[in-house]
Amino acid sequence: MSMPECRKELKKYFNHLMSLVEGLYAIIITDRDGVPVFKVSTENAPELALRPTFLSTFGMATDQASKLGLSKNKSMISTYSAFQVVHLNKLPLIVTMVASSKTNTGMLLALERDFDNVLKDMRAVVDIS
Amino acid sequence: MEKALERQLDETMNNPGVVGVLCADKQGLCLGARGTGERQTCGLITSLAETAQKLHPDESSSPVISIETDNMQILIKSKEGITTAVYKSST
Amino acid sequence: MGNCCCPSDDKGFQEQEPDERSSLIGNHPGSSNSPRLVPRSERTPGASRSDSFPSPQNHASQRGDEQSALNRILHQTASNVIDVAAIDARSMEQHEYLDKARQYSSKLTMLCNKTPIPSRPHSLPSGVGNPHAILSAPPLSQADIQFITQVADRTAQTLKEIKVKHKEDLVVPFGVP
Repeated sequence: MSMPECRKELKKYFNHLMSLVEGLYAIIITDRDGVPVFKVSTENAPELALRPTFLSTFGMATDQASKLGLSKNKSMISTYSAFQVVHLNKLPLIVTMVASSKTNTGMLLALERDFDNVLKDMRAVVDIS
Repeated sequence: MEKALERQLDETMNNPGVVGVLCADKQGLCLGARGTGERQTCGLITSLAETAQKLHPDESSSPVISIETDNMQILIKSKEGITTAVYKSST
Repeated sequence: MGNCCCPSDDKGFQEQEPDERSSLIGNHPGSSNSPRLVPRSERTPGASRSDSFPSPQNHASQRGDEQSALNRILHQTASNVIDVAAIDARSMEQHEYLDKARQYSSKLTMLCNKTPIPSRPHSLPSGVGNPHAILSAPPLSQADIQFITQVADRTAQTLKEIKVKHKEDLVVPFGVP
């Protein structure tokens, strides 16, 4: 069965967002346990960063970080020697961006605005009702 | 700690016509903003400065970028990895 | 060990569930404001609050109330504690994970059929209404170039002066006599 038309559109939209920032390898939208709702990635993305064990860590980390007395945690940036990972807290959804360490972090953070349009509707997917 | 930078931004704002200032580091992360300078655009501005620099890879000093719109002029320049943008109203 | 109690000054947490707590304190004359001595090990932000609750000699119905209120406090205190050791305790079964992923996928397809996908953001701003005027205007003035160069120089200079000031200890011992 081929992918439904609207899913293709969604993929196109996210691929476009991904192309706006040089060195952005993957955008993954998951629930708080790291179960993927939607994702786009290039072949440059490290496979390990797309695994549920990795994706679920932010859900827990953001909960703990919110208790530091600095109010709710909004985003986390982790940098490694070759990659950087930006997580956005959009609970019940979590956005994870995997990029090259050379990538402009400010540009990644600025994508938040573009995500907000789509995430608003996507929230309903993980809502248990 | 960062008081000198804050003062510097405030002083820049006092210049005639200046309506906003932005300052960002190499990673496009905002170091300071005043007036119309939106923190969200720091990444974009750093990336612009970087791209413009690529046009002149041999040049030791970075270029000045001017973006003109109907009611605003944005001047961008980076120095030693720090990008500064000044927003001037054109009226 | 790895645990660290957060101060109760986070307004977001406290103001979310003030309901039962506040009403109970007000209703019972038995409650006193002078705190009874609590052993150090028990003294947490939530526990110190429980001092103002009535003693258990009250009516049975109120007892249930009290119990649930206490439970709630216990719960909240527990959730306010940063427990590093417990972080990797929770893990999902493989089949549960796959089930959920499949469920999300079908729900997303259903949803995206209904709601339109926003148009792609434009890479270029709309710019000026009258390009002719801009193009025929004199190029960037020398004064402007000098101005931005000066500002950039000064900013780079001040950035060098940024240093971390050591103010307080990085490690704070808790409850060590």
